Amino acid sequence: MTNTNDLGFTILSLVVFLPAVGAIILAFMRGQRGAARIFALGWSTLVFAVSLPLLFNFKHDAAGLQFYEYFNWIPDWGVRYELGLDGISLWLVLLTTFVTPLAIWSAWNVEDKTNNFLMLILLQETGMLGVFLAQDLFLFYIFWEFTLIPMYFLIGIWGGKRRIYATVKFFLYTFAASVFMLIGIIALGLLNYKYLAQQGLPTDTAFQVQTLMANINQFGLSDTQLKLLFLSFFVAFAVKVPLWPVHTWLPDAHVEAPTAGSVILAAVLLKMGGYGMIRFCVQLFPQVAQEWARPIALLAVIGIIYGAVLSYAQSDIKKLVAYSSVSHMGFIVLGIFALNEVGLQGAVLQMINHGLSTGALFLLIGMVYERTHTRELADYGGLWKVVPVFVYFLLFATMASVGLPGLNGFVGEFLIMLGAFDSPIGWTFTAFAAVGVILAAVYLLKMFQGIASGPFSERRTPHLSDLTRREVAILLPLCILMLVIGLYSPYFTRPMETTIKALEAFVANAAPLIAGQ
Amino acid sequence: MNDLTFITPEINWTVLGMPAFLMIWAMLVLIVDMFTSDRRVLITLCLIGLGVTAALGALDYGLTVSGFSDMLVFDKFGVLVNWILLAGTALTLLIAFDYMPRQNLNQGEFYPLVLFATSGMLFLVQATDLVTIFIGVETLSIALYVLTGFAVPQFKSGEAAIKYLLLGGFAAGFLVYGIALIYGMTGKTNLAQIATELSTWQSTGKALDDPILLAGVGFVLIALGFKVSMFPFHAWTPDVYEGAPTPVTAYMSVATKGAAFAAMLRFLNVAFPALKPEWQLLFGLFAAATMVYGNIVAVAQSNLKRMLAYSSIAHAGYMLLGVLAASEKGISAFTVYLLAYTLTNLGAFAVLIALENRGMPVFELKDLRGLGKRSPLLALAMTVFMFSLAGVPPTAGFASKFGIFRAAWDANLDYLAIIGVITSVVSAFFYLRVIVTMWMRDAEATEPQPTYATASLSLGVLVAVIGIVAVGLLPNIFTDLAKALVLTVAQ
Repeated sequence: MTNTNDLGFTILSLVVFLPAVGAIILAFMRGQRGAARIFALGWSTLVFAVSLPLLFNFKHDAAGLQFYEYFNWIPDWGVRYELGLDGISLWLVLLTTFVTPLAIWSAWNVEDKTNNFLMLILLQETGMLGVFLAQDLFLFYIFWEFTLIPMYFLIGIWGGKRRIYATVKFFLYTFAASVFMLIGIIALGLLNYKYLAQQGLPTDTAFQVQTLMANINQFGLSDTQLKLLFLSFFVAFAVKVPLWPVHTWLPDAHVEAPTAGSVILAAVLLKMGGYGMIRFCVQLFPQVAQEWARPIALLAVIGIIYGAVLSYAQSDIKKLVAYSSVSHMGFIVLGIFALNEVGLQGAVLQMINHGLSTGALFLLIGMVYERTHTRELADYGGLWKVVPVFVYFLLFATMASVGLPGLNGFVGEFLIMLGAFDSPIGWTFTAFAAVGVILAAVYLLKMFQGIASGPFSERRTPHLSDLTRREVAILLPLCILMLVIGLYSPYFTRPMETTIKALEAFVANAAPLIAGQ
Repeated sequence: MNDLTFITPEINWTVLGMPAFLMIWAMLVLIVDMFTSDRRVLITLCLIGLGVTAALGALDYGLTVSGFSDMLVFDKFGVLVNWILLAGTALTLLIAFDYMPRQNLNQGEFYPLVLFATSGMLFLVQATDLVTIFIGVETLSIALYVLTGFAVPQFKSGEAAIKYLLLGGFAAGFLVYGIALIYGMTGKTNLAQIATELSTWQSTGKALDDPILLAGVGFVLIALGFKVSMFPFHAWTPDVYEGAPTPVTAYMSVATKGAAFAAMLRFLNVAFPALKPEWQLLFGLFAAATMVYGNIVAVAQSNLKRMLAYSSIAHAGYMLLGVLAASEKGISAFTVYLLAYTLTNLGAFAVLIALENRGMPVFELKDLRGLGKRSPLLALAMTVFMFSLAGVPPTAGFASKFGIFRAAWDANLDYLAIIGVITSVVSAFFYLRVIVTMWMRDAEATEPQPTYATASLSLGVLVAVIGIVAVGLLPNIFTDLAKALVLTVAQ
């Protein structure tokens, strides 16, 4: 394995596969539920600790891939095992390693097949980290599809009443969308292979993203072919994000998933879609991205408004937050297809923000559901007086999600709208997106109000007790980060600045599509 | 009276070694069977025989030799496919070992019969002449007719055997008739010589699309298409697979298919490259129909054996893509696919065998309920098999499908690659249903059925799982081995 970082060891592979090793160790801890829990929590915290050097050793002014490592995996096909990190993936990797221990800790009350549950979460972490770090299309696809398997079981075995319907829908929906990406990957890999062979260059990098970025204009692809290839990737990512109108798997999956599953789903899994759009749709097909920026932005804005309206209409709290995700993820797509520095920065930052605040909301709902076993908003009321600590945290997470200045959500949404306003997407769409911000306040405050104020009913929400120390300890890191990002966002945007500037220049300098070819 | 001399034909043991050794060994096992009824002795002997046969291939691996007036060939492609067939046979014997006595089918002839069939397959894989192709097909078929009816007190097994025999006989008729027509038109039976003859036709301006020649090619392909259960010659498959003893079904679903596909590859690519546009178009349609039909009909099955039968029809469609690509990439992808499919399908049938009670051949999906609780390891193995059949990474099923679609796309069969991925999604639906049933639905209140995960069966399942993960994670080992495979054109 060739390694190009200064640390002296292949840190990215270690970060990716450490969770999987933990899962294997857990397999040998059958029947020791308590020990397994502590081990899983400790191990995932260790993974987080191992991932921290990535942040401290990250070179802010380098645009390319860092900590880059590779070996020739399947030379006959031109496939390399290749991991790398840049300003876009840095925070997503850290978000993953940060959220996973919290999700594991939140699953303390899972009594049924605990070991399997924890193993699946760790395997899920490996898959997600691989997605954010893979720099070879084949390797990326393997990780991308692999993330379906643990989540499929997490929802299907530990989920709610309609879990089987939800999990099969989740799997088939995303699988169906991804296979077209497979065709796109095969086509690109073959074209690149032929091109490299023709130029007398080594063909073992046929599926490498960097090589493809450099060569794709030499393949002699027509306008239509480029658009079809773009589409094959875009559909897969749009379903994952999810973008309206392919969002329908999300509410089902979120509502039926166990709390830890919902948290991982909302906090990290959806971000894979946004990340993929930047890494593949924009980087590989900048011309098509430019040409289609407005239609895609239109879908994003429809998603923002539609998600918001549907969220307002929900009586189930978890469903309400699930639809709010549709709305919030619309902002992220809008920011990406602004295709300028501000918009892209906002999009990446908002991915982190949404992960933190929606993750926290799902955790809070899970915690209160464990006590009351109801998610009907109508059953709640007056919790302000009964469980004040819970309500403080709920208020905090709600405000962050609404986009209150001073908290994280505001920075991200502001940057996105600034970027979109300043781009060919234009002010009309941005204005509609701004309506979405107002609507977010409407539905989230409706939720908060419904839970916190009004009359309290002991009968409908029995056995309420305030958050335990463990639960506070889970929520506190999330809330602190929300505040820190809100108050001091430059620390978080600084590492991605160089990468995103380079990307913006790359897109701006891309050869325009030749009409009529 | 001594002017009549008997000339011993020259026997090239490199070429004939693998099939001949296995055939002789099978007779030996048959004799041993008369003196002992200890099936442990028999299976040990069989496994040794398979191992030695594989070693015979390894001995001269890399050489390309043809013999017997170029009727048989020993080349890398042939040896690789033979190894896969031998591995499949060994796995079949392992999973059948405890099943046969449990079903009261404890005749020792089972073992030599399987070896006879395998020997015919090895012969078929190495055949480069229409006559040897016919001999190979018949040798494997006759053994399989008997094996299909091995559980004959059971009505379904007899029915399956008769059905297979009648339709198989019909297919053999097509094969002979096709060979006759081709011979009639070209005057040759050797595949390479047919190609030479056709190229002289081309240079003399004689039309290649002669209806009689085309009919001959079509008839041969119908016969081979029957063996691999290609749509629309698949109709026997579900009934025969359901009725035959489960290990025989497992064996037929992988080994017969592999051997017949290898013959088809040689037949099309060596003898009829001149007609490539024609057969690529026609067989492209058949491949598309096979993938679509197999996968869609499998969705409607509640009987697991029938579901796997339709799924095996669908997989024949995918393998056909490798054959049609008619390129180095295609041949290499076909070989890797055959390996992945052999391991996966045998594994899946092994799990069914572990669950099959005596006198209860009908196996419904709902019987799998709660298997995740009852025997989690078996359910885990089945999960791996189902994901691999559906082509989900990081299993062998994915890596091999990737290779197949890549070869098809490269050969400008892009529409087939697209149909392939779409039907993969359809197939995910019914493979997932098995997983859902095992892990997410609880068993009905009736008493739980026992599972028979005996030592030999567990070994077979373990080998399959390890193989699947290995091919899935390190496909390079196998793609390197199967790289640059060229079909030998012996003149």
